[in-house]
Amino acid sequence: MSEALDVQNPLREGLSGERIPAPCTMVIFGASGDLTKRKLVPALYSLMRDRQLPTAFSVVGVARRDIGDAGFRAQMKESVNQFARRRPVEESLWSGFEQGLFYHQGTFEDPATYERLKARLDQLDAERGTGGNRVYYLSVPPDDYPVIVKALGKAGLINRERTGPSTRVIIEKPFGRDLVSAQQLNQDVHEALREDQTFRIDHYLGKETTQNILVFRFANGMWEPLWNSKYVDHVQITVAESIGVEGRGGYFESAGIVRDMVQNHLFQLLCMMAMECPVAFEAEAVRDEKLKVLRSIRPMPKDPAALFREVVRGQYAAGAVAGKEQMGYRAEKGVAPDSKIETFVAMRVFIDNWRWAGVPFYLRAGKALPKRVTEIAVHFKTPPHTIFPGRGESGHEPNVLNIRIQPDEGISLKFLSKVPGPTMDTVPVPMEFRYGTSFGAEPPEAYERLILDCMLGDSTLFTRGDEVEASWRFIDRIEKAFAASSPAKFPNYAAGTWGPEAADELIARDGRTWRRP
Amino acid sequence: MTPFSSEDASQRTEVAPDRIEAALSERWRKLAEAAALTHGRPVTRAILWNVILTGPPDVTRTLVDELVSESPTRAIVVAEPASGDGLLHAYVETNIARHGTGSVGADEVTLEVGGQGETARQSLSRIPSVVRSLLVPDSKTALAWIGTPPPADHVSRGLIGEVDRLILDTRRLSSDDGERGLEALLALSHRHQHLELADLAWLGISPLRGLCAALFDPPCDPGPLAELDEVVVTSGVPGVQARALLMLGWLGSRLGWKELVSVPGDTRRFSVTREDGGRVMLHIGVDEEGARHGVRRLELVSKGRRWSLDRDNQKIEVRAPGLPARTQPARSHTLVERVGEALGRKGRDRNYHDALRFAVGLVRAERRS
Repeated sequence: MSEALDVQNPLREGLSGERIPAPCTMVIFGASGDLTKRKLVPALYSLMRDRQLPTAFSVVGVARRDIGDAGFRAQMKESVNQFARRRPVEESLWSGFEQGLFYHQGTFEDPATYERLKARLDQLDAERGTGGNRVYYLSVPPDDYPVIVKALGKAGLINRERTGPSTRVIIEKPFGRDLVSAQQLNQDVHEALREDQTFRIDHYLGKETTQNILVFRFANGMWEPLWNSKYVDHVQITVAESIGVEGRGGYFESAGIVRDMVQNHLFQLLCMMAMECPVAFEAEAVRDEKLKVLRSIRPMPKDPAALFREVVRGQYAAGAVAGKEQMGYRAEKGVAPDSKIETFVAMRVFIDNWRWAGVPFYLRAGKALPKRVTEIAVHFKTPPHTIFPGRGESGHEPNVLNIRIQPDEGISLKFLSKVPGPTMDTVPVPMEFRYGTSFGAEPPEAYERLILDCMLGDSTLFTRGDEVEASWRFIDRIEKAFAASSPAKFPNYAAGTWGPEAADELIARDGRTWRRP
Repeated sequence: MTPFSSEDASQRTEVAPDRIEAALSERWRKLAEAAALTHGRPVTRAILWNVILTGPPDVTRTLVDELVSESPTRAIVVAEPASGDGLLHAYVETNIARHGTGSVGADEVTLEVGGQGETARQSLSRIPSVVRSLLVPDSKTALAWIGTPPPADHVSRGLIGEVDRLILDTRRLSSDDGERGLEALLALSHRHQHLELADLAWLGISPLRGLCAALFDPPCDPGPLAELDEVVVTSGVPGVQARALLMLGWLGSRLGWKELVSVPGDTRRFSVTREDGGRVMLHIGVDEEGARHGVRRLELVSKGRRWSLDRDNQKIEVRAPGLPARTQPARSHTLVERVGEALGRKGRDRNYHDALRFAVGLVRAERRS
């Protein structure tokens, strides 16, 4: 349940739709990092500009360097000017916003950092009326999560009780690198925090189009009867990036595309696509249904030969993406010249439940692919018999419902139509809905929505601990198989193509082809 | 032959009133043919709203052009130029916007009757029937009164039953009727229970209402709201004080004030009874020196403590006892932004109806005194 401010204040009646959170201070650990500059503070500025922040609000950035309040404010102004959805900053707005920006120098391991932080936060509460409510944003490497959470608890900066000022902690992915580390992380976090105080952020869930999957499915009556194995032939989910690893070679070498994209983003899309209707649009109800999907995914075969019939991995070689030269993965900075890390994966999964039994879900994710696109394509079964055989180019073309998550967000439905003229030739035509053209207004950034939800205490669009563990339970077997057998022919696809040939063969074995996004 | 282009589509063409739909269909067919010939990209005909606009032709034309580029809309402009032959003239055009790999277009129809006399009156009386025939099914319909709201206007009367939402601006109530226009609006709202009222004056004070409410959110004590002694609204504009009245109306309806009495004097002053039986003094003052906003300053006083919102053209300064002054953004909105916002809001706003009822009570109390 969200905690909109509607208690006892008679003026709040009828304003609850505006979702104004309670006064609070957001403490960002890792304030000198890229995420703070590119996403977090620009998102906070946009929220302020749209009057969605409480009037009593502060931000305290925590990092090692000693830059002081003034230095932090100057850096953040530059970042907002560069990255905010609405830029450049409006001076009159910025001057009010920056009054609430503070910087706290310290190292995450040092208990004194937290003692001084506590004193500073208490002082800000008194001066700015933030009421002791805190959101801690951990924009730091995963190894620091348990360190910071434990230290916050020890310093008395976490209120575990359900009464009194609220404490919430936002954790960025990756939530572990396998099942064991994810379980350990959950255990460490739960020593200091309740699960409902823990907000594991996956920015894909903050995207309008991802949320719209639930609206599309559960606010319309016509899709649900078709949304099952009786009418759906198969589903393809594609998360494609046109860029390579772009200087993140060191990180990617320890992750690979499965950990980086599949365990989180792609599985969240799969859940939204396949879940049952929750009893309400509330955090626990929605996340219970997502968890059921994750638990229903058929585990990959233990036998490696059988597993590699279901999973194809790839690594990009030098090539060209949209006319621009792209170096091969192994030539990237921080990448071993004989790296075996996958930058592409395609797999076939089944969801063994009543609704989806026998329906293959083809998932693929990759880097240095021809375009940046994320979409879910539902391929419906063709009619059992066509009365227009051999006519036109596509007498048996299936209906395809395509949900485009990014870019050019929207939904299209492909169906057959008669070609005008004296014959009964048919041709597929698209029926399109595009966010940009239907609503005009620019949608908010995913981080804006998610930060606001966290401040409101609404965790519907955040990942729960058991979801994380369930997805790792599935992924672990794939990762172990990857680690146990070196790929024979890496690199095996040229940058700017749709992955290795084996990916086409994987789907072709079922008599199907990948959709061209 | 040169293919039909989006430039051709944006040309305004006169058609017979009973041929409007056919003319639009013909345009779309030609556009699709041209698109297939030239670049093969689709042209999508899109619509979220039927919007009927009445008002000064120069304002409505600009508004339509901007509105359809923001939100796909079938715009039906009803224009009454001062001169003309008294006959009903219809014009069509199509507004095309490039988007992504394709183009999106929306229709614009102008119905125009110029001149005076019996012919013009008869032509005007036909307008509602033409509009009815042009409404696209499955999309909601809004009637936007741009300029002075004419509640008794015969065209509007004929259309009001067709629309889901009425967009108007009570700041522009006719100077002849003054704030009594609020009474007419309230009566209209009672007569048409389905009608959603979207008052641009009310939308304009929405940020101030949010900030005012936030002054009493936890951890602040909302208790003083039940013990207010005085509320002062300072307006930055002369004339009809729709925003100031609606602000007081909102506070009064939310806080359960009763027994409205107008207090004679230089400024507009009222006395009302709180739920605990105490009295609250209400003032509406005008100060044209600063920002031109209907609620430039709002001040709430309880037992000597003051809460205030001060608005200039860029920011709103928020003050509360025991806390530092804070600023929140404020900005002026264009007419098209406001109309876009009015189209975005959903359903009947109960707060507005309650505030309007209270505001009408203040106007009536003043008249009684």
